[in-house]
Amino acid sequence: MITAKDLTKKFDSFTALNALNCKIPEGCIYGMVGSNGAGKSTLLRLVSGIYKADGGSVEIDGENVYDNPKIKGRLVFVPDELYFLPRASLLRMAKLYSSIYERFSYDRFKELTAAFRLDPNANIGTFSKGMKRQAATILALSCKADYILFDETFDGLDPVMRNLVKNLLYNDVMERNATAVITSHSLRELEDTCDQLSLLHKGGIIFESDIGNLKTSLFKVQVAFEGEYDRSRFEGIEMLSFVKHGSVASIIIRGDREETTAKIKAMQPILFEILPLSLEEVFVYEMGALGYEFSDVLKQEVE
Amino acid sequence: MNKIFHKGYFSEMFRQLKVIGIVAAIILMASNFTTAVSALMSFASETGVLANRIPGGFELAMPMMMYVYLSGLVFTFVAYNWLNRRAYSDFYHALPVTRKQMYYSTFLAIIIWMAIGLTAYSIVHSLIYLIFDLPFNYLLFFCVYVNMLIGAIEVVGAVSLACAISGTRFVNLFASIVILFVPRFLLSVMSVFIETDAPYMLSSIASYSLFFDPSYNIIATPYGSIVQMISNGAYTVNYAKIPAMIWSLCWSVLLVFLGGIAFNKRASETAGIPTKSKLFQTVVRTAIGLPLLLLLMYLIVNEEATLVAGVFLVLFSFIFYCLYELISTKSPKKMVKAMPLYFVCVGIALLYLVIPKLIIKAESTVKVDENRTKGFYVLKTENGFFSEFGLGGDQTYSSIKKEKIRITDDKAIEILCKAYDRNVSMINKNSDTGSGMWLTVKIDRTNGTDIVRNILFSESEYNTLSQLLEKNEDYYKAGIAFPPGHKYFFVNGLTRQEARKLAAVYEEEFASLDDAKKLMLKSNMSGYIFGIDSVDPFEVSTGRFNMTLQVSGCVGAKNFNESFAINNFTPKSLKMYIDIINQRNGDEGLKMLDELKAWFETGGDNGSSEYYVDIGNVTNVYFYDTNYGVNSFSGNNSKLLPKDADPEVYEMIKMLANAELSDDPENALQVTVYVSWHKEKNISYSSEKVIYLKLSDEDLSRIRDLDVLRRVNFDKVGDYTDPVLD
Amino acid sequence: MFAIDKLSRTPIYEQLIDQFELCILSGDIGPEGQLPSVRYLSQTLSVNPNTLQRAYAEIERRGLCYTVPGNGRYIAKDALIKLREAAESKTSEFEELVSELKGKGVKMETLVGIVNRVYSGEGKVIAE
Repeated sequence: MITAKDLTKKFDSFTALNALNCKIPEGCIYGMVGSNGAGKSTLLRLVSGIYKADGGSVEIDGENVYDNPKIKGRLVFVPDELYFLPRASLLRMAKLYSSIYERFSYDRFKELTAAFRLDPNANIGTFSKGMKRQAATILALSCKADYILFDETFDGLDPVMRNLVKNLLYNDVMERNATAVITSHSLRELEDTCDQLSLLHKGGIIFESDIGNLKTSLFKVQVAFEGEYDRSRFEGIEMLSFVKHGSVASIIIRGDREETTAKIKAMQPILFEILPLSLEEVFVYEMGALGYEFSDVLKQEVE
Repeated sequence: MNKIFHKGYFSEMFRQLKVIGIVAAIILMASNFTTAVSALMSFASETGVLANRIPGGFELAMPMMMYVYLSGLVFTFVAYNWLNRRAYSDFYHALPVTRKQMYYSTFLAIIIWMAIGLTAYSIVHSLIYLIFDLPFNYLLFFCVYVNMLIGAIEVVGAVSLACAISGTRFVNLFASIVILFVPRFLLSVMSVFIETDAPYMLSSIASYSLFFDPSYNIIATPYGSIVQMISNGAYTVNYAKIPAMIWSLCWSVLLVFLGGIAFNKRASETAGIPTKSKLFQTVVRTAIGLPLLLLLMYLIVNEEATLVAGVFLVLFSFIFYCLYELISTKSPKKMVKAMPLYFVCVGIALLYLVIPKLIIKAESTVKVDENRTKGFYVLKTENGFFSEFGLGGDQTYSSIKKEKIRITDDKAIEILCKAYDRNVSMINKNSDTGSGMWLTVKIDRTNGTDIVRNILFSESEYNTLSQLLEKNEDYYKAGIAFPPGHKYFFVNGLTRQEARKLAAVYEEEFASLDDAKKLMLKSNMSGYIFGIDSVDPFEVSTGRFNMTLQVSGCVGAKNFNESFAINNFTPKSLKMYIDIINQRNGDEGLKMLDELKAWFETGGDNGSSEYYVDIGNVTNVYFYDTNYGVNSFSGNNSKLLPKDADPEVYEMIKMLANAELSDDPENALQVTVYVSWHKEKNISYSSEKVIYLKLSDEDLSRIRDLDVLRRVNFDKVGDYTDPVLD
Repeated sequence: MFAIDKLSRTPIYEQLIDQFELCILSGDIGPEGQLPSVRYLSQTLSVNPNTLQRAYAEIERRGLCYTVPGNGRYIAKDALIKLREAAESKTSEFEELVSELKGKGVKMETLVGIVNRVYSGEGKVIAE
């Protein structure tokens, strides 16, 4: 389990993480979104022991990560900016990894290299950006780590490769109860892959939830009544948004669907429709409720 | 051990350095090719005088020192390249290795590669000399090798520390240089101050102690070797000094350790930032403000400081100080904050006024009196080594032995103490040193310590002391010793094997001589015989021959190189020499004389003849005649045959041509002849030949009487006068 | 057998549950039949295993299947019955809806036409 307690990290006068708290249980595939500079990469770097916390702590299985090879040996981090030895091939990098990571498996490495169809002897410097990302992923997954951290890794892969990596990740989760932490700019992507999601903004987590919960507990209702009415009509129902055009009201409701359906039906509406929300919409409304403007927080990539 | 070593990380670093490690080792090894080539050439031929010299510490160290600087810097830069880029730095810091393990494993990998280069080179280098049996001091070379290993540790430590505290290449380099050289440099400057402040005597503290003995921390004092070259031996780098090696090793290890601490603390996010170390900033800033202040201090000590100069220097020093802070931090606020710290500069500069005085004060309270002195050693005169010069600045065997002889004679000690007191009061009264003889002595004290001082003795004191020393049996014996042990020989004109054979004969002969003769032979240099001022070349005396047997070897790590005269005192050796030379050159030499005689008789054409003849030895020339080109004897009258133009020379040449080769040292005349006819005669000899001829007594006295000898000025030994102009 | 529409707004978790119910109803897997493992489905559908796990846990909670430790998941004997019961409660809802529509003036032909369309062509045929 990854535990961050009041985790704080400053760079000169800029506070990247501000007393951040979160718990990532084992076997979880945890997604993080946030604008650039929100602190996602910083958090990952603290979890992988690259940075030392200025305040608070980050622990894995109850032990501090920093300068702790025992823990770090079970952890692997694929950053957004990749590093390879100059003119190195995959095999050469594998030699580096296997010298230092005890669990590195050459068998796995060979499997993955074949699966990704990369030449293990070719100079990685000649690879395209996407292929470099694949190379880094191969090396990371060959380490058989219990904690896998991907910083915007998926964002650089084509859909086919994305699927491949996803399945590999699932495999590790099932096999070893591995924990994965993935950051991305794409909610779409994370929605597919993760089971927990959090939103970072200005160094803190402003939103964290189970994906299943996120999408089932929030829904849109379109309803119409005869005669005049306003939102007061819906007392007792938790509404995040109420918009009325003519006699039709669009309401974003948080709550149990069946209960809410029963309640509204009891009001004898002339129109009643329930629509599921996309994850983006969920975020928009949740954050609206928390007081943030969408454009403030997320810059969405067009897929 | 696991706390600081990680086998996998070590092997990865070792692997990363493989290519440059091998390349650097090959480059260093390549310098052995020039050694091998010159060794081969030296082995095969009879080259110049200094061919017999044993390479000294400086030249042994040069290639390795360059290697240590360059590869220490480059290897460490390559190994820590990743500290300067964010992405790289993050990668390494994420690896499951502790900081300490990373640092020390990297250090080990670098050092092992450097050791491979140094060791391979050293083995081959020694082997070259061993195989060809060329003059070499293996112990000294080993000491140099050890010093270079220590130097490697130091350079790697300094550069590692520099890389750990800075994040860009430029500052890495800058910091490396500062860390490696500045501390030692500050000490050296201190020694300059000590020397300036106290006359020659107590300045010896500076040169024999930590401050500026360039044997301490050799790798940080590269200018020590340069100073050695230009100071004529006043400062010598002693590569075999054990305390110096221990000191250097401790300092090196300290640097490595500090590097480890800095590396451990380093934050990955500082990659690419010039430096975050406030300490380093302060050090550099202070170092920038310091020089002008030191200059001011220097002027003050030399009593050349004026108020204007003082204000000027302080002002500009302060300005540079502030400017650096402003430019490097781009923040006027930080500059203002740094201003009070300027007093650190001032404080350090003031130390340069205070410490020398304190040291001199402390030293001048050291009492050297009869009760406190067990004995003393005489190390050097102001000219070098005690009344003896080796070749090329090396010592002689005797001087090495004399240095080690402890003088316990009461009278000598009395003289010493008196002189010492006088010197001290000269310091205290700040009076002029006056004239006399400087000697460097090492004084053994009853409390177990010893001190080394340069002491000025008056002329009478010096003379008395010299006589007393000569009375010391060990001293005396050392002065007439033939060096024992493995030796290398050189005799001008002989091959190495011939020289070795001759040396064996000589050593035996030498041993059988009486002490006075031994002394005369031993102190012979290039021609000057102790006590004999001028020599008549035709006198059967010691002056006629001045061949020398050059002997070089080593006592421990010290090289010696001295000459022994081969002359009539050693007839067996002399005969052997003459026989060898005559054997080699006789035929050709006589042939040349015949050619010369023929030329005198038949005449040559204009502008195509060349010859010279001298009688005597190479540096004491007693007759010399040359002819280049036009028949110079006749001047305007070119119709004359040479024998008619200069009948005296002709007569002499005739006598020489008719003579036989000598086989008796008592009756041998050294003749050097060279002839070269071009064109018509079509005879040309490549080099001059020295032969020894036996002339009858009449012929000898006849040559003596010849007018030609008036052409040469006897008193000016070694002077060449063109006969025509006389 | 299973198909997940990743572009749909319906959460994957819900889609999974619907799919399981569908395959029980359609008889693709009979009573006491074994359900595919989480591992298999995760790889073939490219779905987060945790999500699969939760979906399975839900249908187990609803009594539609049970787990034999070390062996796998099996459809409950009475799964079909349970689902049909649930369908039946939906049928009474349907009746309410029809009356509602009738009350609003929707013609019977319209409703019958819809029923015909569903039963003849589109949609899964429910086995007897």
